[in-house]
Amino acid sequence: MKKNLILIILTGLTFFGCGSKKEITVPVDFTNYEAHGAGQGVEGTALIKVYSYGYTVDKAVEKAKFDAIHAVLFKGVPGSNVARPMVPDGYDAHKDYFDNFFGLYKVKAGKRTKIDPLDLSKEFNAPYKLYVQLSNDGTIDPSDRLKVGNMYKVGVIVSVNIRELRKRLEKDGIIHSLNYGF
Amino acid sequence: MKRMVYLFSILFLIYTLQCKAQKLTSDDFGVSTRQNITYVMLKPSGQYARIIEERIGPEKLPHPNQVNLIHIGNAIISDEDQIQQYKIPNRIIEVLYFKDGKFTYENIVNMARYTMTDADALTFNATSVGQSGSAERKYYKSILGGNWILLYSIEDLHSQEEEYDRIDERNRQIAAKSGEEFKKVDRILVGYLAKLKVKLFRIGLNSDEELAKFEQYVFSDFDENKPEEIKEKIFKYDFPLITSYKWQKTIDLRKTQPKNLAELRGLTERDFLLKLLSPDFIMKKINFFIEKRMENFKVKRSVYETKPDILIKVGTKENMHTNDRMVIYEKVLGRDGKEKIKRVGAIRLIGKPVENRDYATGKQNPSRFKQYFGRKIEKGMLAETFASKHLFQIGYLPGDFQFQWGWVLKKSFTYLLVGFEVYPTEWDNQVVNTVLLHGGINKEIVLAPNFTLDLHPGLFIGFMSYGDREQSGSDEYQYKYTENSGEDTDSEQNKNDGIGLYLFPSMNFYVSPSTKFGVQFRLSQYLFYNNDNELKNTPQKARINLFIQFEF
Repeated sequence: MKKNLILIILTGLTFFGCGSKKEITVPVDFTNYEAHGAGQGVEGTALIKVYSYGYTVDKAVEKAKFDAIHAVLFKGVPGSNVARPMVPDGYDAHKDYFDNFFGLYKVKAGKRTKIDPLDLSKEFNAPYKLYVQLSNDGTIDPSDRLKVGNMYKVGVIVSVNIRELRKRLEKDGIIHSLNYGF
Repeated sequence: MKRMVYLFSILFLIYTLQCKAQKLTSDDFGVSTRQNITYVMLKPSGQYARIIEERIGPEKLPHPNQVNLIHIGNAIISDEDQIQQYKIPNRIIEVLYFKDGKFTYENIVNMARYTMTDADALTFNATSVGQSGSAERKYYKSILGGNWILLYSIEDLHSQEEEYDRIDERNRQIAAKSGEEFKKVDRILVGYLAKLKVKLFRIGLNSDEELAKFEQYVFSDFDENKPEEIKEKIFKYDFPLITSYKWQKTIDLRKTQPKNLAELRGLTERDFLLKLLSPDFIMKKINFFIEKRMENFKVKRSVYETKPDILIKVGTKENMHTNDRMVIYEKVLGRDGKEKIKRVGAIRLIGKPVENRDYATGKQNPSRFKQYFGRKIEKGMLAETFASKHLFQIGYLPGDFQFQWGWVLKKSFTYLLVGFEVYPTEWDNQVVNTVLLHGGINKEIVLAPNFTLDLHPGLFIGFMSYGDREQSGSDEYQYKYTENSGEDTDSEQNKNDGIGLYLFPSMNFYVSPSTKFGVQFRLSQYLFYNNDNELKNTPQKARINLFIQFEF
């Protein structure tokens, strides 16, 4: 009887005891992404492949759009027609403007709170979204989707309307026009 | 208690094997690209050679329906070496080049032919606006790396009568050696048998080294104004052929009853054979083997959407049918920094598959699936087709064991389950050993992931023989069965054969895409002639059956 009981317990442990409980943590930092050029888009746009993190796959895709604009503005995207950053001064030089542009703060009951860029939903609305869109029908390649701890790293190709983005920044006085000084 | 222990041990073993069963590796992980197959037939020999050639020869083998098995053309050769001698690989690569102009896609929509390059090229374009160097190169590599030559032959086509003669000859020799009496095999079937042999070669442009060598040769000194020079170079190139797989199977083309069917229908033997040698039949045999055994030909797609149903862009072009299954995988980063492939769950196609034969633009509608096993499925996970042909079930009824072997034949919403069972049970206050041959449809309703309800009505044919029961232990179910009830158990007097109807509903719990535990409630009605030749209509006692079933 004892032997049988031990066997049953062992069987149960095998069924339910699998898997490691320790998780990998990803640094929560909205500059944690990778971007590179993915080809020539139609005139005035850039195709960028972005690998971003999010708490869910959908949120990672939303974050990828966010990161694509961030890369175009502040880091440059190697292998694309925006290899140099559009705003070489950086984020902090125009912090208030870009906080608003990226919609990083929300005001509720008079209180200003910072949103988590890893937790962006499809309904999240901010001015940057006017200049970026997914380049396909939303299908994610399984080889570009990776579960890392409790988050997801997803790679998608987005199209950034660099012409209109530049126009907006010039109009808002953030950057000079290309023929400035001539 | 002992039986429970044995059952648990079997379960433990099966579970362990299931954990090891996953074969997908990091290299295979990704959406599958369409492969290109050219069918080449080895010239048949023997008395039926001309009929085979006429029926299955070049241009007779139909276009396979699956997207992964689209071919360029057929040929007949006398032996394997002629593949290189007749420059078959060169012709394949040449067609690919001159179709598009440079192994990439330009504009061939107006050609209205759905082939590998059309579909992949259009899909490639639809998923990325414009083409970058790396994306174009990846596409170009998949075009050149996915070309196969399938060499098949139908050999030793002979009649069932001749097969009986061969068996008799073998038995005669065995009987002569052992000194036993030789007995001729009963001639109960008619038809034909043959050997189907398949050998699969890959045109070796799937490695970077071979591709670089080919590019160097073809495109060095390339003059855009003289494309015919490219054609000449491709024709002269020595393409390596890699033998990927060999397979041989005896196929019976048809076994029919009663005898002399051809005479009854007024057909000659030649006519009869032409009817039986169906190219569709041959294609089905080849396709099943390729899709089941070869990783390159498995259909793998991304999960497109998960709400309200699971949507995946597959359909009739991928040879999907209602109730077809796919296994879902995802990539996970381990603590050691290595990527691991984990199985997430399994899904079943509900409703009809989408008709996507003409969707060469990449903008196709998805088919709907329902999850029957596993944890939460999310967008972007990999779905791979899962095919099974056989199933095995072992069960425990209070006091007895039963086991059955079945064949899964998929039709529409349900699948046909045909099997046989052998189990000792009680009948008319006597213990009998029952052999049942049964078949029925199985309708599986997914109640929640991992939990399903099976409705399994069917018909069974029973062969029963009486035996004596002698209680051998304190447990009322511990019996010692003896075959002898005082008379020869093989005699007609002790056999009570009959037919019956049954309904076996069960609640099931899936532990893997192909393995489930179930609690089955057995209700059946049996009709048989007893020893006095009276027709008896006896319902069997309703019984609970705890079973485990797995498919492979």
